[in-house]
Amino acid sequence: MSIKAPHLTVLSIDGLSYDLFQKLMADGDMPTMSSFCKTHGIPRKMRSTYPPVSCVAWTSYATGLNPGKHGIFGFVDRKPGTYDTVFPNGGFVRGQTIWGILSDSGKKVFAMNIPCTFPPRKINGIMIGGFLASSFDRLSYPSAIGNYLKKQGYRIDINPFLGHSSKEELVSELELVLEKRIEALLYFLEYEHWDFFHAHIMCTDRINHFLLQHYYDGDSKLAFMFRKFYRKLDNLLGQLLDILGKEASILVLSDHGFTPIKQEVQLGRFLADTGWLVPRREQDPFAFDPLHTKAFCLTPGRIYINLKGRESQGCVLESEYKHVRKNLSKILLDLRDDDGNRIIKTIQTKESIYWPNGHSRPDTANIFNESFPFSMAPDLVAIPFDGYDLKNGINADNLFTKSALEGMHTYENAICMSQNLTLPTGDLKIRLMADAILRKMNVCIPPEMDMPQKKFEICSTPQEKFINEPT
Amino acid sequence: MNRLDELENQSLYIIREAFHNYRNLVMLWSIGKDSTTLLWLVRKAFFGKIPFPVLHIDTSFKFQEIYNFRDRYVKEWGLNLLITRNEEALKTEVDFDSKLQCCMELKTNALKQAIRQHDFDGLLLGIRRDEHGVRAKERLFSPRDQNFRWQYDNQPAELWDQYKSEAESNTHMRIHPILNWTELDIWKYIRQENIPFVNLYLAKHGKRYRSIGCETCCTAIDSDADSVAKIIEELETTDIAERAGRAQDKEDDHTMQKLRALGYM
Repeated sequence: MSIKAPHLTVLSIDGLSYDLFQKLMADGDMPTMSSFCKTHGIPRKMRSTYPPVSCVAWTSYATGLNPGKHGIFGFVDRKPGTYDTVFPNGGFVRGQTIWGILSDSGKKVFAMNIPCTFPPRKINGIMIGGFLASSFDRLSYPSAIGNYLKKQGYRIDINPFLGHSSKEELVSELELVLEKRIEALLYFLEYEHWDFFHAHIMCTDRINHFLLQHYYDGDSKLAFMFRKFYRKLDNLLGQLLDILGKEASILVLSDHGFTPIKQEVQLGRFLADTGWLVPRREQDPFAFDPLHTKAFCLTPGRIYINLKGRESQGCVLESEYKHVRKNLSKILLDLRDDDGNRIIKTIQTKESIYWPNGHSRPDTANIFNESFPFSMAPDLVAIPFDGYDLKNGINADNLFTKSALEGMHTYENAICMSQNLTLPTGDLKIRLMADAILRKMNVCIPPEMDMPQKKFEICSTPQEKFINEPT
Repeated sequence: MNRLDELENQSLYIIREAFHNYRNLVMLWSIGKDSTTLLWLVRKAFFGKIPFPVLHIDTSFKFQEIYNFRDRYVKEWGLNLLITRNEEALKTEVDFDSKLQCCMELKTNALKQAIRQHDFDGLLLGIRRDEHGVRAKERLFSPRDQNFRWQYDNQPAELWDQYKSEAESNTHMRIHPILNWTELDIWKYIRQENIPFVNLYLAKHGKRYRSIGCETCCTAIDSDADSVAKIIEELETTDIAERAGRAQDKEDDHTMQKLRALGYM
């Protein structure tokens, strides 16, 4: 079968980590990808976003912006000015996305299943919403595509509760969802001639979350099922690469790394134990007494100072803010597990990783910058050592817990590889992909995009070393 | 006194107390059953002639039946009706697929604009405590600051029916005269007083609305209750939440369960 390949095809494999990918290839479980690597060079390591969460990372991919500008900081966020939660979706994203920019330039765009693209936007082509899409009715633009998918037995996502009840059943469901996804992908690939075609595989993230430890331990039924799943993925990717052909431009990437969980760390409970937070007996991410709480957190490792003036019942004065952050960081960096191992590798301050506007880091005098969405950013982001999964759990029974989850995200070892596409040189970050994609598509790059250059010239070639770059 | 008389009495007292205390009072009328009941009570409190305006926040997405009902009773009851719309947001790009942003722009911000424009210092609202979890902590007199923030942990106590009805400057007071009514009380009172209501609440072809707002965000429930008596009977037996047909609440529940299972909460 041959088709006229899109001008650029992107295949994204959620949470495929560098180490896991190398091991699977070395063990012969991914022969197609292994030969792809032989032709096009070993995959490059890529950095994710802070925090390394799919919706944050894919939004940075799609906008070329750091979270301080695009406004997605996690799957759960705060309703501004309150202690309530809200679930951000694609409608919350600030700034232009590559789908929109390409559509405006008259390119035919296809985007399928990418996290944080639900509800789908009107584009010049087809957009099928990704993770957290709730029903077929509003899954796609144009909406009639949803009916087609429903008839074909397409699956939006797995039932994640299976991961807790039966991992065997989870894997069979994952295989089914994957098959249906690839089936739809191939259908739409031939449907018309696309300029830009991006399809996303989410199942890899799910299987890594629930089976990664079993895989690394080896020699169990579940480890075998894990490898079988990746062999299947490799086979399906092989079919796709054959159809696209050797001349096509292809980008393959993941959004964050993965590592087995040693322990879940209930940071909310730690804040309560150390007196930073006064808990209330409720099942709520914000089960605390705001009048007596100096700091609280959200998964994973997003820490907020209860700042007076910004929060409705803040009790930390602006003059104390830096001092409080410093003290809290010190205590967190010294947190250890029962064997005396440190838990938290680094703590980033909000102004060191997020930019509110412009192309440089805000100066420290500007931390209280009220511009939205920078004002929504966590004050500190804790990055743990591999294996310590930071949760909130204010009322958890223990500081350290274990659950059915076996894998956690990491910041550093996402992957990126390509065929007939020039990748940025130097340190790779997922945020830089938008720039590379728009260049490949010969489309003007919006000046507000966070680019790696020192000087910003619209439609120019990449140049010189950069300074002051957000993550 | 029976329960309805007691509730009516308390509500009338609060409405008159509010009128006494605020120089620029307004009543919000969404034209649903609760605020129409409140409107009935306000008319009662002032013997048919309401001495302040009634405000309708029009998102422009309400059911046609709602607009028809509004226009009919504005004339019939001689209301001084103000209509506010966030024209700017309607003209530009509100993301209607994001419930929160849409409600925020078309309801919250429209109200903010109206308060600024007319300098209202007191708002009569028809919310009820049993409607939704977040409304449980409301007071009958509930102050908001300039930014609309509600400090629910820092509200004056309302013991023994003593209400703190004075507001500080730069704030506005929200007054909830029917806060203590339940959904069932409302329907019983509607039956007792024969209050008119939008017919979307009555079952047609096995479906009816329990809660109405924007056409885009409400779904009908399965029901055969095509009269007030049958609605009362239905409510006395059901255990489904009133706002279950409202999209924003339902979607969030689904999302939360899912994120919890994946360890993202």
